[in-house]
Amino acid sequence: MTSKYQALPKGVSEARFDAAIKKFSAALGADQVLTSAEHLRPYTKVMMAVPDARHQPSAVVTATSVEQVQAVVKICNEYKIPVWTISTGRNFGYGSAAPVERGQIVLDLKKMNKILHIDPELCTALVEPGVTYQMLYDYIEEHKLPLMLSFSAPSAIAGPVGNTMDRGVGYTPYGEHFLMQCGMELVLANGDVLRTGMGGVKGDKAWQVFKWGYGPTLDGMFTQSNYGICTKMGFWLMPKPPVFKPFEIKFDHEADINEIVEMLRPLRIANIIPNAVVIAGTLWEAATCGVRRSDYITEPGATPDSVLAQIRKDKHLGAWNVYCALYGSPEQVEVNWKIVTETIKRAGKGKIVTQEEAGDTQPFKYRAQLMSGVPNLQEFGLYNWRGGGGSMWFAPVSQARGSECDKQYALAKKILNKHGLDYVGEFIVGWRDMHHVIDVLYDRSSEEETKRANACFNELLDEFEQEGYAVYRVNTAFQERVANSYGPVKRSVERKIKRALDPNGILSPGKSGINI
Amino acid sequence: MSNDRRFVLKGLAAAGLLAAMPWAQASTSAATPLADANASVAEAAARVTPLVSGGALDAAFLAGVRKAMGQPTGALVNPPLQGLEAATYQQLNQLLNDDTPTLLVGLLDDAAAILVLDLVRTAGGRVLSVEQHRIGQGSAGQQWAGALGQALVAGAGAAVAAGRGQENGNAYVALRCVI
Repeated sequence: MTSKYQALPKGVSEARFDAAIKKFSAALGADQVLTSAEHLRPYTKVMMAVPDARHQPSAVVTATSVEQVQAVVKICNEYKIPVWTISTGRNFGYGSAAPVERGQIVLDLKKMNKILHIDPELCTALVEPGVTYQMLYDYIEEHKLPLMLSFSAPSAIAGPVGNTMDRGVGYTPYGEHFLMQCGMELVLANGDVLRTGMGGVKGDKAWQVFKWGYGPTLDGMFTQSNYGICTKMGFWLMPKPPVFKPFEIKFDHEADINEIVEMLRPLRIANIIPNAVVIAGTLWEAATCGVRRSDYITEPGATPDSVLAQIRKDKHLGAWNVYCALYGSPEQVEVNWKIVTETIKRAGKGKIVTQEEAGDTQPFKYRAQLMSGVPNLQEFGLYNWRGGGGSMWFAPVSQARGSECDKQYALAKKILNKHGLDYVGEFIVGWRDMHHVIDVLYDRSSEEETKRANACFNELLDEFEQEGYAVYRVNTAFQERVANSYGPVKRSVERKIKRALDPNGILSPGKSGINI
Repeated sequence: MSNDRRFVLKGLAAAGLLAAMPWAQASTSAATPLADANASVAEAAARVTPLVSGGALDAAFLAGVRKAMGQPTGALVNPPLQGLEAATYQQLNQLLNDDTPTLLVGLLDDAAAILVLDLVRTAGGRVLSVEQHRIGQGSAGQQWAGALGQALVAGAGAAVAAGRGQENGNAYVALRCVI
């Protein structure tokens, strides 16, 4: 059946949708409601190995205030319209701006982009969802505030609300972003506005400094979920240290991963190295400094090890490239630098590269920027490695143990190569965990390769699950699948909460596999 | 709208990705100020901004755009910019801070295309077409890129489809947007 809309919400007739659109236009203004193919197309730019049509929105609405968000929620309840909310919509490789299910409307909060408050003494911020890291960086620079940001790699254009709500990570000592979050404001499905932590106390001034408030702490249940729409978020900023000393340690062999992790873990847990250390594989580093697969090989399939060796030689890359930084007073950094260098010396392998030695060369330069809170987009070079627009992040978690990382790396490479794809990955060292982040890159313009990438991603999920691993985050095409990895009881509890808070199931149904 | 555009492009510029993205503006007539994302394609076509990302087909593509703009041998109103120099920032900011309808036509690599498309989305712009291609660098590729430049300005789709199916070619994204 043809419709004047690009898609319709599940179970909603065109006439009913007409009526809802009319109400959205009245509440928000006609220019805030988009339904044309040309306007919706950039909201359907997905990188996942599934048809675009599965993630086609029916409309996009933009809101400029909490009251407008409440109005949207009210109309959605009245007409049973599912609404997928985005902040900046730059969750590239995890679904971008497109909804999890066909026909959902997108609520784009990009226009709610005010930096509400930055306290340079308490080192806190309160922002709206449309604020990007670049905007924050510019504000901090303009006002000469002694503060440092932590952000994910698409730093300049991504934002703290979306990244934190999806439990993303960064590369500074404040890299575990949800850990640094403090206070949220949420519009619930019934239109109520909830402030977490101290935010509900009249006259309170501690909303951005004391996370827990009183009674159950609720913030976590609103992340990676669909229980509310975040309209404000507070978080902590790191004081800018007097000394920042980034460095790299290059390792020649893939088999070194075990020893690297064993060597670094004690330094990380003891906060000798306080930031989220990255251990990046050859192809990650090559792609981010502009190398394309077609520069070396035109045959399809997995890139042979001999080519990887040649790239390492040509580009002076290690099999593993470890990036860390020291922060603090000159005295602190000096002491910690001594500990680090002695540890590496004792290990008998690994070549240290300092900032002075690296100069302005990539990828050292952008890594140092990420570790010091300077936004850049260098990592977008990953998308040019194979070209073709396909990218899905596979991000299993493990203990920070060498044996675990060795096992995960071998398993991932075997599966990717079996499907004719490359291991383009890095480990991000948390305090006690590893986020193993692999970009499954493929040519989306090839139907055959897209099918292979889909099969590969499924196999990665299945095989890792058999070994007791699960991902901490996944693109929208696989969220239902991954929810099963965490067991039926968790799913049942999540559904009960969903039914209680959102009985019509209007807020992002299907997000993280949660439905009424 | 211009505020959003300013922030996004500023981000791109800061990133260094626009460093490899020479771009230019060409106009056939005095542009009409119109702070309206729903400007007609014809209005937007009064000002064309071609986007390229430092690939082997850039020159051919830009020549095609020039031809379609009726400037087959002359320079564009503003010549393509190279690198992230002060002039680049200045000209980028000029584009960001006006509300003149603009037709963006691009032949970009994947990284640049992802960012430009997101810029268009954030600016409330419209994506008229976006196509993925694999093209060789030989004379056939050059011809195709020239034809593509012309077709994107004129709004024809035939040349766009002609570039598909070269498995070993380089990946490109062709796009046509109104902001």
